Amino acid sequence: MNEAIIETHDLTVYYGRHRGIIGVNLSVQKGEIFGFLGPNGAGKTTTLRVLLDLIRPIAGTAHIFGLDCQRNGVKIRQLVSYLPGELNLYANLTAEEYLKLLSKIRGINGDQSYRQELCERLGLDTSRKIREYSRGNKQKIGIVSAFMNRPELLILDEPTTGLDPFVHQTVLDLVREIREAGHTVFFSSHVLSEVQDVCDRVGIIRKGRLIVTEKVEDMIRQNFRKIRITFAKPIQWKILEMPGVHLTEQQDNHYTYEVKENMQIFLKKAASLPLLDIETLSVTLEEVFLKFYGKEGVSTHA
Amino acid sequence: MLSLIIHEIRIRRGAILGWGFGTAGFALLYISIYPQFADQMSAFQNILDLPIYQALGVTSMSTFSGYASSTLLNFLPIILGIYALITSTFTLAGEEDRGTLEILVALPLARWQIVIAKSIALIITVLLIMLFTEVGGLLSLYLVLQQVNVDVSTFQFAIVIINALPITYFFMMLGLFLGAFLPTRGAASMMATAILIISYLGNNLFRLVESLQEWRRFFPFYYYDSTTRVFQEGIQIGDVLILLSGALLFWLLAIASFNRRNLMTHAWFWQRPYPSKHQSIESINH
Repeated sequence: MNEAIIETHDLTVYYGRHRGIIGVNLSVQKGEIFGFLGPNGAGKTTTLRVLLDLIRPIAGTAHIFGLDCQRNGVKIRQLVSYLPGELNLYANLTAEEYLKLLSKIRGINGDQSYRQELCERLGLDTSRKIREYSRGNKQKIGIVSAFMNRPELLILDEPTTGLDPFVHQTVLDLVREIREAGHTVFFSSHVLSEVQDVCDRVGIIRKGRLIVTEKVEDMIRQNFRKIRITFAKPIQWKILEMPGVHLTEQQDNHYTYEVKENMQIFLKKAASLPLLDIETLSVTLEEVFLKFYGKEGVSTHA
Repeated sequence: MLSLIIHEIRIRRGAILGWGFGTAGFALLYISIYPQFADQMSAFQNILDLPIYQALGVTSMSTFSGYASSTLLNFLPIILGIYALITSTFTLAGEEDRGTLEILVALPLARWQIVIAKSIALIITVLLIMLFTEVGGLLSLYLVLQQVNVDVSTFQFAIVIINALPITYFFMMLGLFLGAFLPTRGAASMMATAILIISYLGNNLFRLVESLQEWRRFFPFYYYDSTTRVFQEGIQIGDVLILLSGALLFWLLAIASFNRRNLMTHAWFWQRPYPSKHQSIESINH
């Protein structure tokens, strides 16, 4: 697990005066699903486009499989599949024609059984013109095209957009299967529940800067705990407030605190009060993410 | 790359048929009515000496060669040029605007391969449209010859129609370059169309003013002969080479521009990813 598939150093993109990404240092290991989180405009898509050499950085370097993304773009793209966030397909082709075209350009001329299997699993009828498909079905075509060559590295930008819940789960299963085969997935999303569901590690990008990269469970565990305490009678809640401890919710005698530090002192103080029950609540990635971001327009629904 | 060439031709099959039948119909329409007016054409000559007609390239109607050059040969490069600009500006900038280019560029193809594949497809589509035009032109000449004698041979007529190809390729590659250099298809089409119109009118208008004659050589249409001389002296190889050299230059510029282009940003060249005047890389990174 220690072979870096994607590595960037101080990667910076500016559009004139406008910020793209700033000094992004990223390392994605072989065989992991790396979640890349951030709201719209944070710099996720810009990062992906630099990796695919669609956009050139003004500073820094980007390597995939140890190859420079600008100098060895063709070699890299032979091993990489990409699903863009805003998928646009040739409307006058049938899905079958479109998938065959991509197969031929990628040089896949042999066994097409995996492509057919993907279409069956996603419930995609490939006989119609692409312009006749709904948004969700177009997304399925994009997913089949990204997965069908069993890439060493799969770069997905908001892959489940427009999909119904059943197909959504199928796509996440496909992503897990890619990892089980020893391949790597770079998974950009702002749907936090699915990132928590499938990703091994996540990076959070904010205003063009990568602010944290951690394992999902570490990120959830290390950032804060949620403790709900039930007292025999209402208390002066401020008694339990201290640096790193904040009350987030109160209902009758039930008090919920977010505890970042001073856990032992907090628990000792709580125990000195008329305590009935104490429980640790599970924290979601969504809550951690919102701590990093505040509430800057993040979509948190699955 | 062959798959991409076939795909590019395939998605243009409707345009090939439409423009092919259109240009063939244009040739048929104009040329086949000649016998009805043949004996009256010389009466128009005084009118055709007016500058407004000269500016439109209509210079002689007294013979079939004059009629054919003032109508079919005069307007054919404009029609084909418009097709060339529409399709060539769409090829890169239009696909980028639509978003289909993003997946194409993410495939294991070098950017120059994409431009070359698309260029070959464009060249073939124009050849196919030209084939329709030739068929229409020769059919119309056949109909004319059933009724009156004319001062050109079938071979001469076929050759001068083909003479529209070099200038069509010139504008095609100009459109391809502008599509690779300018941020949007709209900007590329606007500029290419302006160059086409200015070049056509400029060449004809400057012909009327003695002091401006020298400047005509800067207009591509200067190297396309739509006068009766083309029937008498044949196609000027030097002119053809100049137009094809221009096409080659724009084609190379298109490859270079597309190679350097930051895709999906729709940015003008002064907005491309460089730090602004007030920001050094160090200040950005820290």
